[in-house]
Amino acid sequence: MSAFIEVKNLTKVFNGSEKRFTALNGVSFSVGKGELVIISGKSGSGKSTLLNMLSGIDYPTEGEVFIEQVPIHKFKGNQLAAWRGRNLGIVFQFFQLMPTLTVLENIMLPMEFAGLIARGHQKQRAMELLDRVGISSLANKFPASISGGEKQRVAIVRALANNPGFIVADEPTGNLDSMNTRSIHGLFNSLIDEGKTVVYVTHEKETSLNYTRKIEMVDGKILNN
Amino acid sequence: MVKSLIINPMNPSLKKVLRDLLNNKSRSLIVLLAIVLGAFGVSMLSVAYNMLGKNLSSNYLKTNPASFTIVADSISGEVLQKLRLLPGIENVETRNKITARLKTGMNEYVPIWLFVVDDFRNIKINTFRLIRGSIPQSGSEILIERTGNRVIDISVNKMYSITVPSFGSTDLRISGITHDPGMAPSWMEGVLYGYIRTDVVKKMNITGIHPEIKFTIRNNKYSMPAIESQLTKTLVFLKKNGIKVNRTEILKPGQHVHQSQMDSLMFLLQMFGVLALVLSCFLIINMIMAIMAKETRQIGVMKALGAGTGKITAIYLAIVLVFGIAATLIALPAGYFTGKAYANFVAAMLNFELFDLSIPHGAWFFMAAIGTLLPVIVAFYPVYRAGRISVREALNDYGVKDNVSLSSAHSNRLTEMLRLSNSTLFAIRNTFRRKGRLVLTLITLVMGGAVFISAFNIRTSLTNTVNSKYTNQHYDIQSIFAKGVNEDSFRAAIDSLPFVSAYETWGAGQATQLITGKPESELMNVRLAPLQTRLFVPEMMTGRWLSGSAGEVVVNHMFLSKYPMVKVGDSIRLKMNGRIKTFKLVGSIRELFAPVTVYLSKSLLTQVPGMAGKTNSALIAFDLKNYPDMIKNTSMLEQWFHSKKYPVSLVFRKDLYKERVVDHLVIITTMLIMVTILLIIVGGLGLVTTMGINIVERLRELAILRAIGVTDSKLYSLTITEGFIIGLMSWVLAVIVSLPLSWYLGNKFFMIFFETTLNFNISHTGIILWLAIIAVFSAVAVMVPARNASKQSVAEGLSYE
Repeated sequence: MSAFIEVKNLTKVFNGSEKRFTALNGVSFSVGKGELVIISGKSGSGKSTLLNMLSGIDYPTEGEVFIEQVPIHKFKGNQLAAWRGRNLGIVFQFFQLMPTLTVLENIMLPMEFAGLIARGHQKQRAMELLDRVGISSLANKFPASISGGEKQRVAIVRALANNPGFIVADEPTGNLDSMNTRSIHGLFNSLIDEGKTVVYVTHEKETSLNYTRKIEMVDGKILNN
Repeated sequence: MVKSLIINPMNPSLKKVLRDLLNNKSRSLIVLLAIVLGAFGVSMLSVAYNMLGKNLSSNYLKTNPASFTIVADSISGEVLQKLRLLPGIENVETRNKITARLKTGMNEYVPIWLFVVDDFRNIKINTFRLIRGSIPQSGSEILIERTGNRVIDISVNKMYSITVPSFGSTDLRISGITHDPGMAPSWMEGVLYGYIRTDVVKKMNITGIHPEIKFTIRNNKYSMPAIESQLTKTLVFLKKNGIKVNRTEILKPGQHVHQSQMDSLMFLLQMFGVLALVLSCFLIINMIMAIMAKETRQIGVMKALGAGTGKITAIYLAIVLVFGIAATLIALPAGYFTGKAYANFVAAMLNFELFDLSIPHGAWFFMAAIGTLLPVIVAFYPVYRAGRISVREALNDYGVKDNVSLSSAHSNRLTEMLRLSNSTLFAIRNTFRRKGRLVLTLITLVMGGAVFISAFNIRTSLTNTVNSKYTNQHYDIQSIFAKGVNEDSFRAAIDSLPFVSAYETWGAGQATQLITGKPESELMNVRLAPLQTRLFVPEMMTGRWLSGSAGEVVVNHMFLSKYPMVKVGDSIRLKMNGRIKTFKLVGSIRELFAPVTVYLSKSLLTQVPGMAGKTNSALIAFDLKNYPDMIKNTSMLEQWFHSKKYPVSLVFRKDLYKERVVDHLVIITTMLIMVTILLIIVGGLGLVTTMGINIVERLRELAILRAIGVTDSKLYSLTITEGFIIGLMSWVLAVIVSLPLSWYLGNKFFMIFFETTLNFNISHTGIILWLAIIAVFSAVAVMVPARNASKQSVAEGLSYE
């Protein structure tokens, strides 16, 4: 059976003003469907860069990235955006909610971009998703008036807006207290139960995530897989 | 994509757009103002242009101006009737003009042209309309043209004494007021226009008037060849009927006497319309770039969520479109009413009515398109470019990059040379971090500043040019008599006047130029200069002044403007008093705001029948040291003329004439003032935008500075320094650019208006004022964003995203 994610010899080099910096150095691994994989490592280890490659936010210098056999390393610009909209949910560390949209509208935003869900059903679906995580009461609130934990829940719901099979999360609990962290981890665990494939980047050593695998990175290379 | 945005207003992306607008009111207002400025400028100028352009000519053409005029020795009613029946002739009327003086006070007179009208009820050529009172019913009444109201009280029933030189005076009652669009305003020309019946002429026994016969042709009314052809046929007819023709006159067909002023005004309107548009575009680009810089993170997030570059572009162009529509809704009516007000102002200045206030559909469409679509077009590239940013770059954007624009070597040199503090160096480096934005800001400020300073330079140059013409002349009064007076007795008498310090006797007359193969020219002034003149200082352009030889002529620049092929050394044939003589052109002078004038030697006076030993003109200088009151001196001189029974037809005060020249320029100087106000706003907006966004995108950096101990006041002075550096750079460049710009604009306008070049002067006021404005705006531009930044806690600033 083919892997859900296949990464082959992935390299990313940044050309700085004074010297070149190799953030990823020939990384290869695969992830099966329905796995929750943690990518960990210290600051500068290349974990966020790797996540950017997997989510199509950045382009590799060398190597290949296949997501469900789709060679996203060959995509450019709008192709990647379209692919992300339909297939990927991203959860950012700093939530990245649109400050001038309500919680409900933030969740409807990716639906508008992908066009997968009919106009008339977008609001209903968004409410259902909010209900699922128990924050439907926040629907008409703006991000500035909700807590950090609530924001991250909204961000997770937004990531699920188009029912993607693949979720990436870049230190989603980096700014949260332990109680909220556990709650968010619970959400992610439930995503695995639904058959989603999750790649989760963290620098924390201990976690309540039910991960299937942990990839440890150092200096742009995989130390342990 | 756009369709979904428009048709489905509930789209989250459109809601984001609208709420972004409403949440950031000050920013939205500034963007709106930038677009409004451009749209307003274009609307106002388009409206004024449309209204003025068609109304001046339509006003004038409605009067059915004469195609040509023939001045004959005399003419009978019978011949006049035959003339009316000539093929190709539409109308024939006589309208004689008598130069007279209207008494306004004890020894105070104002020149007045009396137009003798055969039949007030049947005027077909050079028509005028009665706007108050009634037409004259007898030889004791007169109609006055309405623009005389700024010269004298022209109330209906007011009585004035009118003096016709050599024929005495009579009292006339103002029976009514007219509007004659064919005449330049009285207050501008310094002469009143009165319309009288032939009864007045009979009553005063005025004789020796050569009838001025006006003609309009039936076909091709505005075609010069057609007019010339008809004139030729008419002259042949008159010759056959034994009528002696003194002169003929063809004015430029269909062109108002103030067409040149209108041309210069239209030129200025177009120039400044384009300028307002260009500046507005730069301002919009700058602001859009500032907005997009602030939106970078959100763009990254939207792209991460699946929005393509096209979608991002559409979202932000929708913002611009909303601004454009809002700006158009404000600017169009505001521009219309302001443009109309300016057009009314100009019309009043030039004595015509705005009958047709309609604006063509095309012009409305153009103005609306400028307001709504131009900002979208202009914003397209910066928006598209910002939308193309990669998700990674966008999400990692914290404002300004870490790049340093000045190397440490350069910085050390600069610090040493100018003894700069580190904080000033810091401010200088920060200024150059966003080079693209800096360049755009500078372009906006430099253009605005250059035109602002140019406006001042042009005003100063105009004032100085006008002043120099009159300061350089040493006479105070030019007097002209209707008939020659004995020169020796004149001299002996005027020598006894204590308030006169100097005088010169001249000659004055009129002539036409004869050119082979062309019709006789219009009447031009002739001045006969004494051998040595100290009171009249000719401003030589080419050649030399008269040497006293009777065969020489010097012309003024207005002559050369009419006959540009003529040069020093050429022969010129002039017809004066029915006699034709050829002269050699020896030089030309610049004579600001004078009609076409030729200067001949005064020795020619002796060749005019009845003028031997006589003079009919004098230049007089007052002893202003002991008798400083010009008005009183003039009154005393008038009284003296009266006591001597000199047949005065004109007493021309040099200082009043200067005021009239300045009055002519008021239309232009008003326009320049409006433009400078617009530019102050543009310059201010440009700086406010740049400084505002410079601070906002460096909030984290500023928070770090505060965290390490920099006080708010120090931060404020740092940011002001940045603003001032930008302002100072723009000021230096603006001063440099303004020099050729003001020289070009000033000369262009002056050439159209006065048909000569301008004495170019730099206005220090304009330069210093712009610096002061920039300095004030630099301080003000950073005030609000810097204060807002300092209100945030350090922690908030550090976590700013």
